[in-house]
Amino acid sequence: MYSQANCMALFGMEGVLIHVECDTSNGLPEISLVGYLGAEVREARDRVRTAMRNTGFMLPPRRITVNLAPADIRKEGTSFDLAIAVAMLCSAELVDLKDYLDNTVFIGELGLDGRLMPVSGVLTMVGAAKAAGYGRCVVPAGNGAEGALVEGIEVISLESLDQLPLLAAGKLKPLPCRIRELLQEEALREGVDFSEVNGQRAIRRVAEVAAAGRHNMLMIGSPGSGKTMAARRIPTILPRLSLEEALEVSRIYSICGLLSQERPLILARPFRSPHHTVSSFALVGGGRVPRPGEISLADHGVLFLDELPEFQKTALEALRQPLEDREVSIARVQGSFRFPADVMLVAAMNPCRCGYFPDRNRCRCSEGEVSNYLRRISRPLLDRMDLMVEAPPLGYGELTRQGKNESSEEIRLRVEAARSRQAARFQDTPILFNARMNAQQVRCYCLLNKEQDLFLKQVFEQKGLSARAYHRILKVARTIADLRDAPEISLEDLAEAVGYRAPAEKFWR
Amino acid sequence: MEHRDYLYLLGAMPDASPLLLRRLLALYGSPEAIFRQESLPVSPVRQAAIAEVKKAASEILKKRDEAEAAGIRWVSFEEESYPDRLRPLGDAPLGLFVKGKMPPEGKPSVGIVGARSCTPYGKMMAERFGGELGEKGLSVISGMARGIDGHAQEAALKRGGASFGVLGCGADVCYPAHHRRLYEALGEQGGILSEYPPGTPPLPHHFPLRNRLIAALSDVLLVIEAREKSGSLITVDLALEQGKDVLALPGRVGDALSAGCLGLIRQGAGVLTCCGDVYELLGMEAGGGEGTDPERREKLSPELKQIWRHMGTDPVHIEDLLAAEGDLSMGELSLRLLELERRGYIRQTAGGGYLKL
Repeated sequence: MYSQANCMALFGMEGVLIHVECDTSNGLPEISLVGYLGAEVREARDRVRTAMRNTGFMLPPRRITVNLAPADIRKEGTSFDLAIAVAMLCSAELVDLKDYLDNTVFIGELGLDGRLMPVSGVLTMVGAAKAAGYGRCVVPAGNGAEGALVEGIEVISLESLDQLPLLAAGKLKPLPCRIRELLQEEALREGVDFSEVNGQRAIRRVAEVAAAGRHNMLMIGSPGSGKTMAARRIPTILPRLSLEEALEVSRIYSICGLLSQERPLILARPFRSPHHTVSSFALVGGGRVPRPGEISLADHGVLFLDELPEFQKTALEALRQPLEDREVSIARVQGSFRFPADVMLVAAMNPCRCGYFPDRNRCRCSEGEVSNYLRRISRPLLDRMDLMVEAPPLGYGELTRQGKNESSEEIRLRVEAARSRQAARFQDTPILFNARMNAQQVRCYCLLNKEQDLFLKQVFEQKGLSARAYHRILKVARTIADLRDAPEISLEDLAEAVGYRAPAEKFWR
Repeated sequence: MEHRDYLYLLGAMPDASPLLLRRLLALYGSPEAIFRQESLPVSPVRQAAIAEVKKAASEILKKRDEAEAAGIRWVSFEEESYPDRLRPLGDAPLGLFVKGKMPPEGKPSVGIVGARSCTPYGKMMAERFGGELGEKGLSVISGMARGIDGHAQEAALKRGGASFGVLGCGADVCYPAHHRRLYEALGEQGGILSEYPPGTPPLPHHFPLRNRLIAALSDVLLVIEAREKSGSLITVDLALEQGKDVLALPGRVGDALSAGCLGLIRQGAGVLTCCGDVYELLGMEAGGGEGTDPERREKLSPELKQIWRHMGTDPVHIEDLLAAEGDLSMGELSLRLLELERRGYIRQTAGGGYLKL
């Protein structure tokens, strides 16, 4: 008898519907599995057969043919097991799921004892099932909470294959959709707060400006000056994730299998800090079957690159295109894969190899060595850094100071206010932040009066700034004015923005 | 071959001690005579080297002519333009390669030496003394090394003075390579001197030897910054042997880069506090006072003065200013710093600090 069940394959961030057809006919007892399968899908034959026997379904000794259609798409992953099992059981008339098959998508991997194992990408697959017009998804119990994030589709969680008769009898109830409820929950406390950062007023300020305008920032400072400490706290001063952003981030984490089973919706801004030995593929995504890289995992959050000059050159250069387009696109024979990569890049580095330049009592690096070290960062990457700050080493007094520092909450309120100013300004444009303004928008929104124009001209001549610096300075000045809640850019705003650009012009001429 | 060619062959012999060559000259009377000898009272190695030179004579002379065409002259001690300051030296080279000019005889000269990796303070002082003394008409002698040497020479040239670099490599080799601009400027506004033939690489053992020339060419030697064990101190020892005055710039006790200078002062070196100290040693009129802080400060508005107050010879970071001036915002502070910088009161250094000028 012929039967058909549906399941989902993952292609990048997309789910593609796969039909599992099964036919049982006379002939030598054999199970054959066809349809352009990856190795792990071919192994499903043994997993499924054993799981069925161990849950008490005895397959008849007949010839069983299973086809995964469309047969021209290569299938990878283990999420097809459940659908294969269902198709085979229905075909062998061991379970009667007739009412279910047409309207349901089955997702899950089988263990040899018939248990359903969680798989990655359930959020995307359930979303795709809904988009394809299906009314019901059956997912492993471990992924139940994750699947239930999607509204408008019944999600039923299954613990084991032996629950199939219960499903057929309609005794398993769909899970309630909990997304509204989860959204209400306070974002999991990150456990860090800006009030723990003593001193480093300059870094605090730069972090605030960067967060407000979504600018990329670079910190240069000796070891122990608090660069990493500050960077870790930047997500805490960014505005909360919106529902769409939270879902997008959760989808990426789901594909990578990084979602927590109990709290499947990611509410905190991601903070990713890849080690400097990371390869370019791990950083931007890639592989034969492309998977998201660190930059996509940091989507809508902070990608922190500590010890920037130590990163492989190829890895850093690979960042350039995603930083500009805010998404990664990877071309493969099967098609082009796109992963979102809307990140705020925060980088930190030492001023020289030993880390103590310009303290000549500790650093013996020559000026040539220092500039060689800095020049490992290419000019194009540097040009994507709007804000730069040089942090001095912290004195003992600052480290042990007991006074109260501003908390993340207070800073975030100012950042949110500045963001809403930007939202109002850019309501008719596709951009959301000052950092994303193009040259024409800079001309339109960053108006200078005569005095400011003259001032900037003088500064340019005095500091020998490059033309590229001009727009960056104006954008940053705009953000600083937004933080003051002022409609016009002031001379002070400009001066401050110039200060954030100065290190680049000094080191990387 | 003429007499001068023989002298050149002798003088341009790689790694030959000038002392030995002079002794041979005294013994045989002329370079021609030396080359005629079958055997010389020297070590077999040296003997072989002379034989080598004899064999390759035409080649060596051709290279000299090429260098002369490229603007690098060879001046032997028998010539008029050989610096008089080198003549008393027992081991003065038989000849000097020069690109540009020789240090003028009538004018006083001052050597400025110091650490290669210097502090912002050292850089500032090297520029101040190099610049002012150069402007005053003194020849600034140094080694074109990075750090103090280069900063002093650059400043002297920038303010229209003459400066002379004594190299430990061929006069056609720019070492360190990133001093290319300084090298070119020295060739035009002063001179590049070397006792090594063109093309000689900068070998480590050349540098202590070239230091004796720096010491000899300088009437007074200034040490700006030096570590406790520093190559600059070799120059000082040589200068003292030659009976030159040495002035050391005092630094703070405890700074690694001041240890050398403070040690010199303890041993009796003069203290360098202003250009007047140099003029006094040379018996010159000081003339033209140096700007003093109180006068300049008067011209500043109270807001700027408030910031200027914090500035010193050690870089002050904007972080320290934010801490000290709690009421000022980053923007206000940045504006004032830019204004002070524009008016030439302060300068931004590497590491984000500001330095009083």
